[in-house]
Amino acid sequence: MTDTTQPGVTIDVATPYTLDDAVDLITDELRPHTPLAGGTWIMRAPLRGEDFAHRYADLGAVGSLTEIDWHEGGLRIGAMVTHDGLGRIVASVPQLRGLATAALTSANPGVRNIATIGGNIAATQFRCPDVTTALLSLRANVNIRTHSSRDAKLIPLHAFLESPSGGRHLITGAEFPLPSGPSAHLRLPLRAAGDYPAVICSVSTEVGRDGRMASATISYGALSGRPMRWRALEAAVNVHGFDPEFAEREARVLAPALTASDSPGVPADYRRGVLPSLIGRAFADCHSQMKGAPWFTTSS
Amino acid sequence: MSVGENRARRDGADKVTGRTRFTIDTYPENALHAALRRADLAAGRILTIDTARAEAVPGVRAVITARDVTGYEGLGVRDRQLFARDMVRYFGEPLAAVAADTIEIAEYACSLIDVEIEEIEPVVRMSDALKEGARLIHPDWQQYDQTEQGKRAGNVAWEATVVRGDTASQFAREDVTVVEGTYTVGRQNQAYFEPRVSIATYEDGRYTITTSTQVPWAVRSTVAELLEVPESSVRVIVPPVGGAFGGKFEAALETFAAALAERTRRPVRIANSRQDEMLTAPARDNAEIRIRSAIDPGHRIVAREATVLMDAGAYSGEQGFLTAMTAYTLGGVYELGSVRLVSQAVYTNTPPTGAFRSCNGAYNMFALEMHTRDISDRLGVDVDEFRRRNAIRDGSINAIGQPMDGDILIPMLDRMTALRHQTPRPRGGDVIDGVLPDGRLYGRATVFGAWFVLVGPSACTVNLNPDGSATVVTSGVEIGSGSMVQSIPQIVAQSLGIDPDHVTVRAADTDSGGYDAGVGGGRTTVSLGGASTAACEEVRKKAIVVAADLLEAAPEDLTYADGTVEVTGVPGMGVSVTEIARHAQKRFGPISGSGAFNREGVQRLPGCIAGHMVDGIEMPIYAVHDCEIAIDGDTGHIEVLAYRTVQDVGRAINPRAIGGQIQGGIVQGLGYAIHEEITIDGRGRIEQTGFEGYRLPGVKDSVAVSIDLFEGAPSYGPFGAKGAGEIPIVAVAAAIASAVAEATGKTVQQIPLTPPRVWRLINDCEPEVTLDWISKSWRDNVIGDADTLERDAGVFP
Amino acid sequence: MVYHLVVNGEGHDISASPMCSLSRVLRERLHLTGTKLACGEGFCGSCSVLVDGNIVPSCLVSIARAQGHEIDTIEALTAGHPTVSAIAAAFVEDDVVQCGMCFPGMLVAIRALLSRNPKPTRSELVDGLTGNLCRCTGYARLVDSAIGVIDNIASVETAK
Repeated sequence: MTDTTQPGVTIDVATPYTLDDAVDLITDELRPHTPLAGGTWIMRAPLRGEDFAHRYADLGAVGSLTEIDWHEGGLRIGAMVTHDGLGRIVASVPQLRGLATAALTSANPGVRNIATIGGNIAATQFRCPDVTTALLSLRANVNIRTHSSRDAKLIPLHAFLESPSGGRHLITGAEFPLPSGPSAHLRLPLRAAGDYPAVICSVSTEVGRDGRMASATISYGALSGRPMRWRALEAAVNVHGFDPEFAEREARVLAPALTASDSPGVPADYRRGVLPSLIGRAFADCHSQMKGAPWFTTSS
Repeated sequence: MSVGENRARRDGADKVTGRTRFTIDTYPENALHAALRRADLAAGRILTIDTARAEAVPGVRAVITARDVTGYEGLGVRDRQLFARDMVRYFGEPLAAVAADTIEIAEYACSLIDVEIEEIEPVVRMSDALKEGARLIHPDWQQYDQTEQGKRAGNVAWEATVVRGDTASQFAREDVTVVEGTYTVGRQNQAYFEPRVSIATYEDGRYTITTSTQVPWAVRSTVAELLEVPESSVRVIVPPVGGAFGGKFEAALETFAAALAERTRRPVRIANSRQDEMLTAPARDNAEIRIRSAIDPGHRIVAREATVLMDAGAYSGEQGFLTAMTAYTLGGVYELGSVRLVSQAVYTNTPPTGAFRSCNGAYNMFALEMHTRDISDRLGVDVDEFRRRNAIRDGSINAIGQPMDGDILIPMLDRMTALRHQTPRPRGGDVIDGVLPDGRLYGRATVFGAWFVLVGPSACTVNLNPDGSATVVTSGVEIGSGSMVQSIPQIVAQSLGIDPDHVTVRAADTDSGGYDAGVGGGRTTVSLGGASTAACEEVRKKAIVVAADLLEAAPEDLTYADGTVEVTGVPGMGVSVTEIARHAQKRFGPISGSGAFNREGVQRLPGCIAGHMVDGIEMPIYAVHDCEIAIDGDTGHIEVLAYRTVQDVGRAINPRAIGGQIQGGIVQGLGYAIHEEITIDGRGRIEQTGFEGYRLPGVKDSVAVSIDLFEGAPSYGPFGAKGAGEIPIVAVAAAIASAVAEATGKTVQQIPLTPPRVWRLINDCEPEVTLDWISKSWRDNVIGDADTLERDAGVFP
Repeated sequence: MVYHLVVNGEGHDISASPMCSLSRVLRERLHLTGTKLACGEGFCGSCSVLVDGNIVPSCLVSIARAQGHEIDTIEALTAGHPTVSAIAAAFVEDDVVQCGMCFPGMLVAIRALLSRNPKPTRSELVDGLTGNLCRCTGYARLVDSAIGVIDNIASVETAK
């Protein structure tokens, strides 16, 4: 199986230069174009036995989609920012260690240079999106343009993941407020590196005026379907505290209720079984970041 | 002195910068591109195949099916055709081939071939294939041509047995401890980076095929058999090969290209994608093994019985041949008072399996060494002591009654003890109660490995060129091991006394190189090396005759030494090889010598083997492997902290190159032991479709291996060399699995030891491997007549 | 459609389907077969090229996307970069190559790494190679060989 472009079938790839043009192409009623972001998912369509779409809108020339900037105490990331691009910006931000890990260690160096944040969020069939899982723990919102209006809509990422927009739309970016506490992202590939993780978890925290951890947001991914917030576990730690061993024990109690599925060589039980350990390690990581950390202050 | 030198390979510069042209890099102008229509179910009766719509596509030049190519081929039994004819027997089996102007047209045309297949329930597991009343994968098995002696019946494609001594009475003793074990392993895909690819032309009644293969002569005869043409009408040329590891030890796509080239009178190129290779490469077979042993009060193995079921897939392929290997691996390292080995290649509705670096040795050693652990545990003795006590030594007879020559294993164990001290584990920290400072579980193990040199004929011609250089003409292929670019030129250079840089090795071409059984099996250096030294012997003799003419002396008075011929006892008054060659060119014609190499098996106990397509392998090779691992108890991840090997090489022609083979082979072994899992679903389809799901070890999964090359064991190879490329992988699963058992305290019965499997072992939820369908009594399992086999072996209970 | 590609500094006009992969274009149209295609999924690294100086798997880049960017393949990558050339030479001299299919990708990865980090530690080098699989060599010796060159250059510079 190579490019499987059927003889006689033409594929049209349009290259819009502005966001409005891109949205028009994507939401066009008669001739809708599929968004083409990094391409790492779409280019493997033949391997999944799928045909290419007949029309694509290549987002590579829309400059505004590659912008990444600090805005009102938070970070705004354009949909076409690559993993590597994101990672390099957030690597130096102490509270965003988790997002940096997700951006800089998922897949491999080459894929990180082309796979985009927007593509990561949008690939509904992709089981283990690291960056999306980390963004979920950062309570990110997703910026969407749809056919109904030229205005952007801001939807909480968790809502977008739970019920993705029906109808034609373009994810233009994600944004989240900068947390006050440390974060951690743990991914568990089966090899030491380079493969898709069997389990992912992300923890982001806020610290109170007393300089101690005050709340945590927890997400997990790769268990099944899309990444999810672990609200039951959040409730437990937000009430009883963030001790890593407690978090792990509690996670172990709650894990059987999570939906998980098998994939070849990786049973659902394994995923549910190791996630609690990763939770414990994530909290341990956050705590050790806090030891002697001068970057957080009691005043916000 | 070139033997023993660490010469760099001459093809290195081009390979590093991508200038080497592999077959896959060749896209001849004017070539047509071929694609295959493959079955998308594992079992069915073919009712119709209608190619009309495909043939009508513009740009399609030919479409062929079973009606166009009718020959049968096979090793030991001719059970296979090029296309599925009446039945589909595996998911991915070729139904038709299309040649077209572009690959896209060819693939599109393939999708338009109308196929009517009555699907039937596939027989996917060996246990189902061996059940009473199981559907026959080959209903006509009795009509197939059988070309070697051996037993076949129903879904047992081939059986090899070893019978020596009286095991029944030993097991019946009251004072023995009987230990049993069952083990199962999955397939391993070779994952050579260059997929299989062939380019064929048809001119003047001959097929010329350029192809990525290890066995140009086997390809030649298989193509001829399938097309039902004389072998002399087929010519096979082999450019540098981008990895093979045994997976290219049989014909693959060549006949499709040849048949289409004949049809179209155009060059035809056909290449597999990685997905095609994941589906159809002749992978190392999945297997099921039951071993039972009787141990006497002196801790000696007085009886051992083993049944090994090898999944051949839909066609017997090489597996019939490979059944013989159990004797030299599972039966190859310990002294056994009496033995029964039954190895069966079993047909299933799955893609045919084949040879992969040390074949069934890799899993036989795993099963054997896990069993050895079990025995030691039962007896309450240290496993290393038990191993040392029972290792074969000078004079021991092996499973098939061949006497061992020399003490090899025990001195190698001693060398491993020394190596462990010289190469302490570089990281991890101190172990306290089996746990490392970071909380991970620690385990270690030392295990044996055994393999052999696959003898088989090789031929070689060495031409002495007028400038004093030499050209070596063989059918050897460079698959990456370096044999053709290092050890062979080094051997020839040493034999002739010239510089290895002045030795040219021609690429394999069956029109010019003589017969060769194939590259792989650790045989190139020995067999081809042996043939080249024989050829050099002839060159030297002829050179002396020419020198006699030059020096006006009698040939008997001359000696050939170090690239000159001089009067014996009068050094400094000789002529160089260059002068001889020039003189010969003018006076007598060019000097060339031909040599062949083959060895018969040694004396073994008469009658004790049946169904072995190799008569007896007289050059065993041994290895001792030792590893230390850390296991993350929460996730099941294994980190290999240290890995060491002592390998029996006879004589190291190029020590550094051997080291490279060992490093690579052991990391492949780590893949086999830990990471690479192949699962087959209920429909007979392999679930791993590419490198996303099939996890090859990456740089962070590897470990730098500490290596000690053990020289001096008896070998008839050139300069005393043994083959070194195949054995490094044979003991890795054994080593890792033993270390995991040690670290976790759990019984390991299955590989690969992926994190989920290790996690399940630790959490006691890994299902036990019982293999109920393999009887504890070898008599129930064997398809040959047990009484006859015993009588032939001189056993009269 | 016709696309204009700039490869190794030269412009080419290539007629292809827009979703045809860059790897196929390089190999089949431009005869630059140093870039290999071992897996076609972005997992093996053998198809690695530089796009605007960044390492990417060319099997996952469409020709439509490749237009307008600077593409450099192994054929042009060792020249003009002394450290990479020295590493390539060391690979040959230290005899670490076996079948040869993965090495071009390894060198591209090393080149990409060195342009960001001229003096990587062993651990950084290994991290940079996590996208390059090798089936033959078992990695250790090629890493040793490359680090040997890098450390040598680093110590020469320290000495200066």
